[in-house]
Amino acid sequence: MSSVAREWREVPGRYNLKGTKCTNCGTIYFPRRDFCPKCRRAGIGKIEEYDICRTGEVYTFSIVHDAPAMCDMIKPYAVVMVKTDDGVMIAGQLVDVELDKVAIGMRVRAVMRKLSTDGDAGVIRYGYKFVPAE
Amino acid sequence: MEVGIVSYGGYVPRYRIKPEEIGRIWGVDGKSMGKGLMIYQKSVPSPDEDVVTIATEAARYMMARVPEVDPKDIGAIYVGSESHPYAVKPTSTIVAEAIEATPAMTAADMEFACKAGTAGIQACMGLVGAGMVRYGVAIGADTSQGAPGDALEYSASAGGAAYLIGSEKVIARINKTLSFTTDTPDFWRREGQPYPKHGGRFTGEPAYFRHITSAAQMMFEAMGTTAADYKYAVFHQPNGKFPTRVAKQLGFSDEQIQYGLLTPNIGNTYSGAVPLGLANVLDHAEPGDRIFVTSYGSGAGSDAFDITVTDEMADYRRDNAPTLEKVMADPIYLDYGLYAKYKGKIVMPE
Amino acid sequence: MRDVAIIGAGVTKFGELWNKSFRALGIEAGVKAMGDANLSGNEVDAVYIGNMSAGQFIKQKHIDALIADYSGMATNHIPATRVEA
Repeated sequence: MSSVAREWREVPGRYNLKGTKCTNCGTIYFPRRDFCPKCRRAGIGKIEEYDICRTGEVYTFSIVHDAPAMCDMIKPYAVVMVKTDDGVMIAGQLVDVELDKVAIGMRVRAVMRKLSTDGDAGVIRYGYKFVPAE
Repeated sequence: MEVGIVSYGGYVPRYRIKPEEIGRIWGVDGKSMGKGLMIYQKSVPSPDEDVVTIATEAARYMMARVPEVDPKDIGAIYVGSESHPYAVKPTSTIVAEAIEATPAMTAADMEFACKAGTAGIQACMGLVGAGMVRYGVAIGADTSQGAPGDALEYSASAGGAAYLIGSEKVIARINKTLSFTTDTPDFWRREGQPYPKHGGRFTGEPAYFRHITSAAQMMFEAMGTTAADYKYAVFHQPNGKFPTRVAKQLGFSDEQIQYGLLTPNIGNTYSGAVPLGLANVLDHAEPGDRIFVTSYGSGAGSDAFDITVTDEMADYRRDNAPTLEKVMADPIYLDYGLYAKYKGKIVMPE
Repeated sequence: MRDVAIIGAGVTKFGELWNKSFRALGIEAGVKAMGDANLSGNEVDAVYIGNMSAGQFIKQKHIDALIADYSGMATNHIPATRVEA
């Protein structure tokens, strides 16, 4: 059974693409980091909340045929690295798309989808996936 | 204080299945079933969609159209559905988090069969009108289940629409709302049961028609109007036939109900039906248009609304989010096997 | 064998720390210790993480690489090792 505290801590990131930015070096982190690995102690107190842009383009992709249990019902499916319009790389699934149409450079946007459930009685995890956009 | 709709948004999943495909599996003339119901295809949610995700998408479109509204000024949120993902743990709070409206607000989930969404609109109107909240969000959304081989399998679909209720920059003023409510057991589902049960033809006259016409007549009386006073009308639409018939009974023409009738194209979205029908009307409405809305929820009750589109509609940034026409364009068709898999009807190993 | 000494130490609060993840807690004490020793991260030659139950509680045993990365030491390419006894 997964920790409800962890699910709860991750909600702002998963629902609303909330990350952080180190104002010392300007690097944006998603998922969030509260300690800048580049600046280390020089960045303490200089990390700000940052909302990652929800639109971007497909930087690279892969079609998954051999899926983990929680994705068995939707295989084959596309996983993508999306370069958001503010330059951040996010990995996720690209859904509601015919697999032969997935292409590098395709415009996408983040939406909220069901990621997994903790069995029939556990918590439902919601978070971002991507769909094609204009 | 003018209370009404400040913004709205609607979402329907991309997948569809046709009645002839459903009929093919059960040895029934599906095409005739579809014709009889006046439903030509229905929407199917993807395995990763549910009422939470549908409500969230609709709510996000709603917020995108009013960028000057700070979500933190939303004081209430109600999501009405008969397919909430949890029996206990509200859909409303998840949606509230997803539109960043938390924490200074009230929230609750609603259930009243297909009219839970309009019940939420009434609750928000009360809170706004009483000055208790600045904005309220009411959402009607469903991923309804039809039992395999049952008539409802041809109609039960998925979709939802969200409404931002307030008193500032109102694009559609709600002149009045009233309801007609009785204890009528036409359609129900016990806790833990996967599929609902219904009373067959009892769901017609004593249920749907009685409640809608009663609420509608009460509204005509209260407002001193007849069907001719309205540009558009939206009725609950479990199929395409019932709303067409009740519209005629009340004196409305086919033109008046045209935009508000989506079921023939997407199936019965239950709590999403009237909210989506109204959203499609609002996608086409202009300042001055008067809209007559009557929802119906089994169990049973009807909520009626008399709405007038204001001049504010001319400045409304509807194009900040896709219109329903755009949302419903370009669907992906499924065969029954994929449909059964997506809807969780296949018995999987432990 | 030459003499070895502890030259810096750091400790976190103990309690129900709902807002802190494993990795955040893990590096907090280390960062404090580095400050206490007045050392730069670039002077560190190796990292050791002592932990017993991460596999059971957070379903992640590969915490040596995790802590090295989260504390910004991974780019120095020093060995990181998980220790349990």
